[in-house]
Amino acid sequence: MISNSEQLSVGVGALAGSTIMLLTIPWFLSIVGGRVNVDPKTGKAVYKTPKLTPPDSLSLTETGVALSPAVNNGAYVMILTAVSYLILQVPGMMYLNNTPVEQAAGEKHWAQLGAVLCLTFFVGYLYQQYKICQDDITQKRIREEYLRSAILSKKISLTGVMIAELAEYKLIHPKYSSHTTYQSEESRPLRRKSSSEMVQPLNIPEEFMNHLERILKPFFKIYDENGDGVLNKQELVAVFRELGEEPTADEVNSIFAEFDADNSGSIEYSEFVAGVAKYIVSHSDVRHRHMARKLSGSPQARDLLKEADEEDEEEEVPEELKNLSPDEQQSRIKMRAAVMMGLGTLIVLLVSDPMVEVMSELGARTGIPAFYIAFVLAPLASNASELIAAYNYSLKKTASSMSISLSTLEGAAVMNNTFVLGIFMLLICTQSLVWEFFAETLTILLVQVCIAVYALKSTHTVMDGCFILALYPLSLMLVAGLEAMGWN
Amino acid sequence: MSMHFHNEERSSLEMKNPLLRTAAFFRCQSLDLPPTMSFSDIFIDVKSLPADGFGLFQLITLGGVYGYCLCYASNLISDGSELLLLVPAWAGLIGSVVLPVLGAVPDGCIVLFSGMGPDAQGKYLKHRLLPPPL
Repeated sequence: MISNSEQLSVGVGALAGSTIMLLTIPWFLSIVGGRVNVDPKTGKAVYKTPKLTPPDSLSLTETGVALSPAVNNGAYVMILTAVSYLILQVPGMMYLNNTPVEQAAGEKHWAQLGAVLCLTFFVGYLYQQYKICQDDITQKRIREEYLRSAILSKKISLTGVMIAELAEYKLIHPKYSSHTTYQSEESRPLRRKSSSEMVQPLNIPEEFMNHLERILKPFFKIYDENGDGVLNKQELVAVFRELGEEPTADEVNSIFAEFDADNSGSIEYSEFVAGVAKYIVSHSDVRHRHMARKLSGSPQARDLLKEADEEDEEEEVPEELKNLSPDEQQSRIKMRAAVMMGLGTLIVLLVSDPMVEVMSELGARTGIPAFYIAFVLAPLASNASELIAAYNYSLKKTASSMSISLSTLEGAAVMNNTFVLGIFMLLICTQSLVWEFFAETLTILLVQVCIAVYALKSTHTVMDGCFILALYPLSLMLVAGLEAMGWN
Repeated sequence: MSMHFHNEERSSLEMKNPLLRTAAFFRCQSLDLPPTMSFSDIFIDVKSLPADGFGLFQLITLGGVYGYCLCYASNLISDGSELLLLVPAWAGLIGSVVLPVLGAVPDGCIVLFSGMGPDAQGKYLKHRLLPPPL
């Protein structure tokens, strides 16, 4: 049985379009978004402030980004997994002069081999990623970044995050060194100035404290409105609300007194981090805080809460989080994630089939081969979110955000080389299809080789970005050219 | 011929019994529809659109709607799996394994259905979910 080749070419177009689009357009956008000054002598990107001189400079050769070793390694992995395309290419040419039935039979064995290869790469790649992430600093930073944004968007409260983190930490390290004297990174130079400052020893592992500190740092800076490096009582309440915490009126006073270890009437950064840590630990056993809340509250503290309320009325903690203990927050999040992922997958399963039919019909009616239509349209629908994510990451203009942004794109290409191509191989086996897309596969392979060779460089200037962007239209022309030369 | 007669007899029986009517509805054998209708017919058949410029416009609109649904669904998948980063015990696995795989699901589905031929979904569901005709 030979299936409708017009429909199959929609799939090939989607695979080629998604792979090539992800490697070119977001790559270019990441370079533009994350560009910093490039030293004209060494040709390396310089990650020092000011990042761009003059500001908003878009110099083709003197602005660019650095490529981390992770991106260089990702390029090798990408090329290795792209080898699967050759499996289809070579035997397909061997049977070129045979009848379609013989061709399908001959290709079947190669497709089986290809499917096994894709599966091996797929499992191997995921295993390698999992191993890397165990002790990878960048992965941890990505997560901290996400935790911060989740707290800001009120998906979870700070205690909800940190109690779970602490429990997990204790699970991994059953005997962490107790009574570590914690010192904030920023408090060390300060210590010489004020001898009265005393950071109390806490029964909290240092690694955990550093983790907490990295999450808290931006919040402290935002709420220190007058920029004097300390928080007053009102600012402290505001920070707590931003963190999704709802301290009771009574708690506000006692928290402030407890935070202010040196009784200076204001809270320094180191006091703040240590205080929040204590607050979290003391709340890790309290399950129904809101019960106590209703029963207590001095008038003075109420006024303070009211004042803070008036200042940022729009930033209220949503009802659904207000009364939830950390455990309940965690299970709520798992539920919501499961619903979102389930619903998303259901919609994709339902809509993919009619979408494929629309694209092939669009091809039939306009006379444009369905491959080109799917090449342009399918990635717009399925990969737009990845494009936006890559660009947003790069806007931070740091070496690590650049590394994350570009490695994610390489990872998406690897997924297409293994997961999506593997589905193709299985289809060829089970549906006895004839593979006749040599021009298309060759183009995917060529673009990946170009990008990988490019990604071995240590710096990409905006000029390099333009070349990479040009690969997108060039690849379409290459397919058309190869087909005109009679490749299909 | 006798087979055909048998079906008609069954249909009239189902018409009378509300329980059987409901069962027939869930088997997608609606009584008002010809017996060839299947689950995938909840979507517009693109071949039935007029073969002129208006039809082309309808087709493009339809593609826009489906494209939007796909885009929305892939956002749902990625946002939902990102949410799991908040669960510390799973974070490592989610960040390194689940996020990249789920990102490739929409493309994988398009490829899958394109390779199964026209009306792939209907065929699959008919085969799997519906009992064999009497």
